[in-house]
Amino acid sequence: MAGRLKGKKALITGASSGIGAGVAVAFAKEGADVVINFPNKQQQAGAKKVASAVRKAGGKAYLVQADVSKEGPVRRLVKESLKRLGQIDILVNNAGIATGAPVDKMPVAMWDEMISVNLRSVFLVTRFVLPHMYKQGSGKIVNTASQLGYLGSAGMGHYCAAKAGIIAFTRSLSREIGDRDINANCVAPGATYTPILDGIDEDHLKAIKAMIPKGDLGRVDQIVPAFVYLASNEASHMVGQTISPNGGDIML
Amino acid sequence: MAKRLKGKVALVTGSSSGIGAGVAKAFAREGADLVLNYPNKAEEREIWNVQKAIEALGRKALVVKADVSVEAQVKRMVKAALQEFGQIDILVNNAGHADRGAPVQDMSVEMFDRMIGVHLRGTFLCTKYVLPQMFERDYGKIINVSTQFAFGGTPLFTHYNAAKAGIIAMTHTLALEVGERNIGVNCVAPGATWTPMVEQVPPEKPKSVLAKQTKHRFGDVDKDIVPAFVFLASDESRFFVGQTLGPNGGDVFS
Repeated sequence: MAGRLKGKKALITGASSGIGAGVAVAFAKEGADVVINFPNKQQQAGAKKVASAVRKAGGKAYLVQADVSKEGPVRRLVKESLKRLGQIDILVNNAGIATGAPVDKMPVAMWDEMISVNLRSVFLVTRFVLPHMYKQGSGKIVNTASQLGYLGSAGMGHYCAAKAGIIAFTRSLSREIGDRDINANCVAPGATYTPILDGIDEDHLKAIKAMIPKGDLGRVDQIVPAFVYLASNEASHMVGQTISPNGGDIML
Repeated sequence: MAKRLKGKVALVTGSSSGIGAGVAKAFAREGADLVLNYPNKAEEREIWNVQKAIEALGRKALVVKADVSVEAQVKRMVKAALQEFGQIDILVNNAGHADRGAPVQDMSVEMFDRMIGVHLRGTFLCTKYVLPQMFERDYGKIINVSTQFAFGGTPLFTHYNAAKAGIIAMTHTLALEVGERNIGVNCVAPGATWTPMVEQVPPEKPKSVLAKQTKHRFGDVDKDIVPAFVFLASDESRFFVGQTLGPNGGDVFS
């Protein structure tokens, strides 16, 4: 049986750890070559580890450092990716951060950073990859949202707004794409064991678990199959949808 | 590459044509053995064709005639399936029919009852009798079939849309009852799909639906719709709990 992404070229933002890293390796296992984007020097070692896991899985891996919240670096990222891969069949807008503060105490800079990294980045990378997909006449865009885009979360107004924005952006983008052979969809994971949870205290974690019908947070390997599905031609009739591996936290 | 449903046994209700037949064949391609179900003699030839196709893939296919809205027939079907295979890993509650619909004030009570009976009661009955052995084995995947119209409605089809929305609510509730067990309960809500059912609804219906849909085309059973079932039937979906996937060409965004 052939890999489900055989011969495909994928650009994955924020792929040095967590879900993005898992997606990169899963794509390679299914036959894709990937560009692993990471934001800064601190993430470089992680990105290199992901690259060797991708190669072990049989895929080609290229590292491109770029802060996806900024136009210049994004233009460079897309150009570099096209140079390395020759084409971009799959774009996964996954880069994201997590911070937190109640609205009345949230520094404006914290808000701005969140919206830039988690939402503006999705626009920017899509903005510069899309013309290429239009020309090519095919493509898959998979955006990483979050169940918190639906549920909301005290102390994370900025994060939830950004993630809900990604869902609405994906729907609008789908309408613009129309009947071209390009699909844009979202994955909205529930709470997942990734480095983004570093620093969260035990009690908070226990409270999260208690709310999930499955009784536990997701593991990356339970989340990434949703990305493979949406990146493959199996999802040809999935348009502007958000699918939710979340252990039943919210059922949509 | 490994087959995604290797060694599994799947019961697909209403598998003589349309989405059910496509799902059954796709499951067989992924390594599953099948229990095929059809409602009446009129569907006999079609179900045999599906059976032949599955056997040609080297998989087993047990054919059971049963009206899923009748308790005794469902009990008999599940018993026959377990006798043959010893287990049911995957249940797809797909059996359904369409009619020409009618405005509520003109809809015969029989028409309403029949629709709710096959779609909603049928889903309940099959689940009720398959679930105990899934609990015993602590393994299972249940996939229910809804429709995009469960969200947006469409005139003349109150009975159909109510049944399909009920199926989504049942999916949510059952997922909570199943809880932390290793049993996945999810739903697929396709958009307008090219199946024999389309021929039963008034011809202007599909046209008006496709006009506002993003892809402006019917879903193709094998290419567009069936992969969502394979995904939910496989262990790739193990963190999907009570979710509804909408391969609908960009009509309702869920």
